[in-house]
Amino acid sequence: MHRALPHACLALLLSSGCESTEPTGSSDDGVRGNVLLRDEHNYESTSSLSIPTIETAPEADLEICWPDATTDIRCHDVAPEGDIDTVALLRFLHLEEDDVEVELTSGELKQSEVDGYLEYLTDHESTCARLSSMTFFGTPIEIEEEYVESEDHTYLLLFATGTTPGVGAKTMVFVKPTASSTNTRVDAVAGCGFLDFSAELTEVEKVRVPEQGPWVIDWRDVTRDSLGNDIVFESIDSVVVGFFEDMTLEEIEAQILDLELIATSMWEVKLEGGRTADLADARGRDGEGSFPGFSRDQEGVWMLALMCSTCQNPSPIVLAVVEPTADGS
Amino acid sequence: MKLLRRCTWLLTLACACEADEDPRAPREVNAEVSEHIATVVTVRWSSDEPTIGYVEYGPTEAMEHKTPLGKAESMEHEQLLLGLTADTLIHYRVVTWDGDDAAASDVRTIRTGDLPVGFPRLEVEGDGNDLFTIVPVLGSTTAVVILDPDGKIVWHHRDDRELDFYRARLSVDGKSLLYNAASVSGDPADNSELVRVALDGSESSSVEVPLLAHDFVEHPDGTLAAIVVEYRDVDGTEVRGDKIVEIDPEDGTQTTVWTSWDCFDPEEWPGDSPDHGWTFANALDYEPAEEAYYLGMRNFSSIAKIDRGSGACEWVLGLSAPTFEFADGSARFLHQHQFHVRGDRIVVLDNEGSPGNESRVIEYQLDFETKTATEVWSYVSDPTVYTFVLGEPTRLDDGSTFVNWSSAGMLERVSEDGESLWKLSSPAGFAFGFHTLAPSLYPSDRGKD
Repeated sequence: MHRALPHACLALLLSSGCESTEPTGSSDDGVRGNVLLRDEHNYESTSSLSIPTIETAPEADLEICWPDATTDIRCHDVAPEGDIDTVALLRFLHLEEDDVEVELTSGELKQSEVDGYLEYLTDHESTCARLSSMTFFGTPIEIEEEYVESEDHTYLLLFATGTTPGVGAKTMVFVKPTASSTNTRVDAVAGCGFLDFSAELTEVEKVRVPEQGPWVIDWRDVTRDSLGNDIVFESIDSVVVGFFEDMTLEEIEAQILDLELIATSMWEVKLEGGRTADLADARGRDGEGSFPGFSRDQEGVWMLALMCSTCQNPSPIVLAVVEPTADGS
Repeated sequence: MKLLRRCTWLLTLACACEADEDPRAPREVNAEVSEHIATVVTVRWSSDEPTIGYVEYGPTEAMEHKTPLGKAESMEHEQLLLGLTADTLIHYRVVTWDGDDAAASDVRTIRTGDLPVGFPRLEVEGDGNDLFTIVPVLGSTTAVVILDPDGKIVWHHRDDRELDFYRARLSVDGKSLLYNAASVSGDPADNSELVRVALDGSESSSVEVPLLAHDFVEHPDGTLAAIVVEYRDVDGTEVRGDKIVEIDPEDGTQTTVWTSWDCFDPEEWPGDSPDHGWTFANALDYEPAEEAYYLGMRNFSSIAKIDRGSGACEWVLGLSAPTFEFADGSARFLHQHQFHVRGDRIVVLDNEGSPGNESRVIEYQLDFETKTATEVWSYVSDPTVYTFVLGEPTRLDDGSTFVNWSSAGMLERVSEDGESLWKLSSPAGFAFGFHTLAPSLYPSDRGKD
């Protein structure tokens, strides 16, 4: 106690304005959490898209229908009439169909590569629409000029839930204006099978967390997403923690696209920004209330995910396996 | 208790040491990150005598930047540190000025905050840009940002109204940022406004201007002028023209200084997209020395010079109601958006004049004697891009051109020789509104935007 006295007074002096505070080089890394995520905790994933192509007559007022769009690209059920809110036609510049598939998968598509966007907001009564009913925020399409055979352009129809451009795609189809074609009808098909996605969870280093809180998750040190791209912190809009009762990592890997469906319980912290989140703020996705902590009588796996709800690729940016320990070390 | 007494004694010593200091020295220096804008820091300090001073700051110990010198002597001081990137440790110190650096605080540090969720990661190629860009972001996120010369976001502001922002500019008094909240897709909005936000984000205000269109300017005296849609009944048919409305900086009075009908007759010049309106003005500039507006009209594919006082059109360049002819071999522009007039030269963002879906910039030399416009320069990006709405070129003093490809989500700086010096690209879903450029975010250092 006595030895602490000079330090306490020194601290008071330093904060009282003789202008000798905090010398150059003293680092302030901002507020840090007590559960530190790093690249070695993050899963690795590979994914590829294979989107079908339908040739059509160019400059034609296509009839576009989606009653057969009964599953999405993650093989979840879709109600074509009720779930599809937006049909969008994207025109890509200087990209072949293969390039579009790669860039959509990686989330690296640039705005300059999209040189046309038209949308039709469905009425939830019909599952067909005419190309001529699509608009760019109210400006109608000029089909003779904008839907033409072209070596420079690739056209993609998206069938999506929600109305945010580029987000929520359930299924998709390339349409290819071709002079030799007389086809004027496009039928979207079920999206299951378009996406080949795999994840590696068993080899990643587990994140150790204390069984007793607080649990302030901190991802400042993460530099890469699961695909190896630079992480975009501003895209992370929620933190999700989930428990998978009686499951192994191998079983979770095999159902990686169904995480939300197979989790026993999930809690979420919605973010406005920043690089930390306190699980004390997490709320159950199915009305479970606040996050109760990592203590469980049941066997199972805890996982932690950093999510982006508006990204082109809906898979978690970070997905880590959590290992609760007595002191978190 | 003993601890308290000993500390009090040491504090007394501390006060004594301050009493011996230069009374001009900065004291009680503190810094705070704005709670509204993660990249703006306010530094406050006091002095025992009235002084003026400035703050040196930067991301390295060299502190490469400094705020402008305070204007009036004071004992309580406050300066904003601008141009900072997010999540960056900033070094700073306060310097008192008395004809020379009289005294300075120690160097301190503060870390800026994180950008909010939803802002795009911008990719940059090249380093040939030295200007800040003030520009709205459209699409997945609606916001106004300032980008530093490296393309990093150094200022940001969002508001939740369901309108888009098309033009952003720093106010002439240097204290705030202005933008228009409007809707130009489909019908114009009755609740459109010109919005003013303090540079530290602490307050905002707005002027209601119903039916705002794409663009507005601020005069050197603070008068705002904006394009506003105007409907008139012409022989039983509603015609959608445009007007220029000025807003008095003192009392907010709104005055129409020009309308489409002042210069054009819809029967003679109907425009080429009546479904979208008649003139469909989409770009506005103001030249104080000439007291003249320059107005771009999309459906006319024309640009007019308008005398502010009389409302007369001094000249028109383009496809409708032209007073200039294009010289043989010179390209015409179609459905252009912004442009930049400098003396007898004009650069135009030609959205659709090029064959195919390929936008370009064309520069013309204007011969005011012969009323001839001669193409002298043009630029197409490589690979080509298509800017289906908006877009703006700015010719700079060094001969280079800053090209905002707007809906293509790309900003570019191009040399006279057509070499791309710097290119910034946004991810899919993010486009740009019209821009303004500034060498500094402080008005005294800004010069000509």
